[in-house]
Amino acid sequence: MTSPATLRALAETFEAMRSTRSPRVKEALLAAFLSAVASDTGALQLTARLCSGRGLAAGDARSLGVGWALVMEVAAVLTGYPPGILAACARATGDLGEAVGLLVARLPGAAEREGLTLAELADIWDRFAGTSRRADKGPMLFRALARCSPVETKYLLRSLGGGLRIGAQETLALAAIARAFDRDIESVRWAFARTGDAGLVACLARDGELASAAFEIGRPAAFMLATPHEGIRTPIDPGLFVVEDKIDGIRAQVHKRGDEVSIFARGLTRVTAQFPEVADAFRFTTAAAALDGELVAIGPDGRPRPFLVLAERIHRKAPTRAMLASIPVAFLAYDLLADDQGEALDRPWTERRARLERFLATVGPTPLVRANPVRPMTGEDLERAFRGARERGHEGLMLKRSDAFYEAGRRTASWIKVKQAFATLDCVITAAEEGHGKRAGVWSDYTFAVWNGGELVSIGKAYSGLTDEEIELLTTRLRKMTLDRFGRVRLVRPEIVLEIAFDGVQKSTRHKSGFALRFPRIARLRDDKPAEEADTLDTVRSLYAAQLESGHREEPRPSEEVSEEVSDKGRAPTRKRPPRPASTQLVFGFHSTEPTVPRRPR
Amino acid sequence: MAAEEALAVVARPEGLYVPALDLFLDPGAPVARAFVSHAHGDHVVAQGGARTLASAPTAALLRGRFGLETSHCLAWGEALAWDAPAGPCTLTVAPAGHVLGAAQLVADTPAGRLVYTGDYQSGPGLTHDVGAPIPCDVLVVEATFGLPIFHFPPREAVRAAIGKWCEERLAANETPVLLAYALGKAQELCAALGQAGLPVMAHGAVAKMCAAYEALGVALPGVRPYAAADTAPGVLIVPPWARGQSFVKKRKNARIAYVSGWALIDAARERFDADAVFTLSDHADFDDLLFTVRSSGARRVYTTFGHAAPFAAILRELSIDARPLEALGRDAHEQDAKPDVNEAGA
Repeated sequence: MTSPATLRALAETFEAMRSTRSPRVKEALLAAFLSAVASDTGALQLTARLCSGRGLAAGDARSLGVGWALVMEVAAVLTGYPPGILAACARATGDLGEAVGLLVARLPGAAEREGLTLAELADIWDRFAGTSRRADKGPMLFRALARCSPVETKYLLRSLGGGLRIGAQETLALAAIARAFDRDIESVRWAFARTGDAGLVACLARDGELASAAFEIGRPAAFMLATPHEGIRTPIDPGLFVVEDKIDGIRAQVHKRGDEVSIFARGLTRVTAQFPEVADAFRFTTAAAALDGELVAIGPDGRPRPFLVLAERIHRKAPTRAMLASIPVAFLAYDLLADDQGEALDRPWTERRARLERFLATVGPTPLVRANPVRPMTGEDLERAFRGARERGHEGLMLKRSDAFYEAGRRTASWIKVKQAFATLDCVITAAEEGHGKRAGVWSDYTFAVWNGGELVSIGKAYSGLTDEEIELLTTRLRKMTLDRFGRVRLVRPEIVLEIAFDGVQKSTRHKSGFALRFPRIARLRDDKPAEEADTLDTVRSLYAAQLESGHREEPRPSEEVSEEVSDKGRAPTRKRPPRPASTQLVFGFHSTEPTVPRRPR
Repeated sequence: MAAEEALAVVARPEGLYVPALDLFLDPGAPVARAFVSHAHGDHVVAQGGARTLASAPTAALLRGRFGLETSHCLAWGEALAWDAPAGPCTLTVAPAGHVLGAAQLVADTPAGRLVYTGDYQSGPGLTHDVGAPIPCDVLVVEATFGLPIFHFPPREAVRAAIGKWCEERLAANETPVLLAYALGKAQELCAALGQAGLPVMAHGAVAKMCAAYEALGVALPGVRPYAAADTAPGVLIVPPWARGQSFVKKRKNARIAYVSGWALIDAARERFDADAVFTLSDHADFDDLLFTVRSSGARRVYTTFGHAAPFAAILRELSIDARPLEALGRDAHEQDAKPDVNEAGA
């Protein structure tokens, strides 16, 4: 090996990392690679960014814009196999990059190809980001891959999408940076939370300048995350906390400076184009700020609409005029990370809140909705606040410690979320599907149904809640119960009962039952229950009715209404049952004043 | 009528069916006339028909493993006269590689010859007879690994690598645990490790199959049944489904290796949380399948199991009249990775 700064050396490091179960060994391997390329700033930056799961710096307004379809097209030319076969190979491996790598390995001379240097790869990345023309990107990708050995092919394609699959990426990348340059991991995390750019952090770590990492408007910081109240072990002192409604939308940061408005979602991806009306709402102010809050769909009465409505907007890269009119979205701000006075991360919540209010006053008449913090005094006040939040259409409460800093990138006890699963339903699995990635080869996605007379009608799909071991066992059982197969989907004998927890019921045309569940997750396997005893559509209807009475959610838009046959209008449910409360009840421990100390970063 | 029309094969709810022979191939439900290619659980979901046909070693394994009786046991090459809609036919069985007793069915009819490979692999194995392509007019071939990504390394090299890995683990005072299918793969590993002089401990399900192999004349010296109290050094062989069981998790210094054709895929290591993976399969890889189809000279090829549809599409690209037949309730991962009900309690 002449130079360590090659894609082949990096790909071989990734292979070695993948081939060990030990996180320490993974970390050591990556740290060794980072040390080896340390003198080459471009290579160091690119490596750190790729390892943290992104090809470009967080906040970079550009995107690589190389999708599955383009890779398939190029891979078909490269390997000589048509897209149908390539897709079958990708299904078998759970990953297109791996499949193409294996096919390239069969081409004569592929292993001896010269490969790419990391400088060349960085250049290719820049050129991908520099054009939005598919006709340019195809040949660029082909020329790059034609020089790649099998292992380089695999990781180049994995870098373009879907992840490297070498272990927990961001955590691992930061740990390796700390180790490579002998820095304190807390300092590395601290710098990353403020800059969101592992490439920059690696350079700062190398130069011993982590303390200079600064949050800047226009570059997203990692979000501060709340701990569920079930996870709080010490009683909390209500005198220290403020309470807000917990808003059920898309977590986002809005950055405004000069004429530039940027919106960043979780994962620090830029979503400005998806929500033009939100960006426009900030255009008139001359003040600068970076805000934290939620994007929500807002009804004519100013109340938030169901998340399912907002979901229609998420997957639209650029919403149509009709969508903008029918599903207007607003930003509910509740924190401020920086403004004209500078960075505010290391200021207490009380000060950030005051600065947020000052900034919002400059924004002017907009669909902006402000979160209203209240200082509760007693447990009773909190219970009342919780009921009030549900009545206002929010999913619960957020408790925030008034003297805590903004702990970017941390799940912290300074923020506590209080939610309540709405109810649970016992449903029957009617179909199953193989998962992707780690779940390739096992049936991890289940369609479930409830009884309507003698017929099972589907009400949702769930992917989460079971352990790997339970999924393995279910896969084995379901395999023997297969009735028919449509592509990836296997219809199975309806015999297995799952208890599904969820946060709400909505009408939906997606499922045969005419309803959909909000946040469905598998609470447990109900092997004690025969399928005949699963819940009925009547139960779902009465849950829906009870939810409307409680004012939890508005009625859906007309387009979401289902046909009259499955609607419950004018028909009394034959079997009445009150909503079954989920097992988690609200419990507040307000008797101790033992404080949770906010973590003060360096 | 041309052979490919006269010897058509169809997918029925019970399994693959050859109308000209009035015979089901590895059916999944009880039928009157069935050929059972080998003794893996997924091929013997239900038996008990009036006429079942299997190779002699498969018949013995079926009896020992599932308590199933076979009405027609055939030695390799022994001819059986078979009255069928197509007229007087002769059925014979030939080794399919794969596992001990695994057979290809050869049906000579007035219209021509049909061959069904069952689960198949060409070339020698340590504990089973050598599978090889058979010239025919109509071929029904398995396609478990019928995608061009599946290219397996030479078996001798993989067996040697497994032996070396086990030796290193034992030298470091660790227990190498090999996850391998209880019938077939496990015995091949026992034989390979035995030749290398390594002591082997067999999980109950594996030990039972080892005993069945030995009863059929395949010597597996140096294999002892696993007992929890047994702390003497040795390579532990367990079925993949036992990966999560406490005796594996609690075994001190256990190091896990997954041994299967599926080990070729990165996700396998994660799924079995393995320290090492070895690509050693009882099935033909893509090249082996292509070689087998080409060598048969068949004018029509039916593909079944696993990647039947894409493999048939690739054969059609090569101007071979190939059609996929989907067998329900059985798929690619079954044989190598999954428990079967009859073993789970063992």
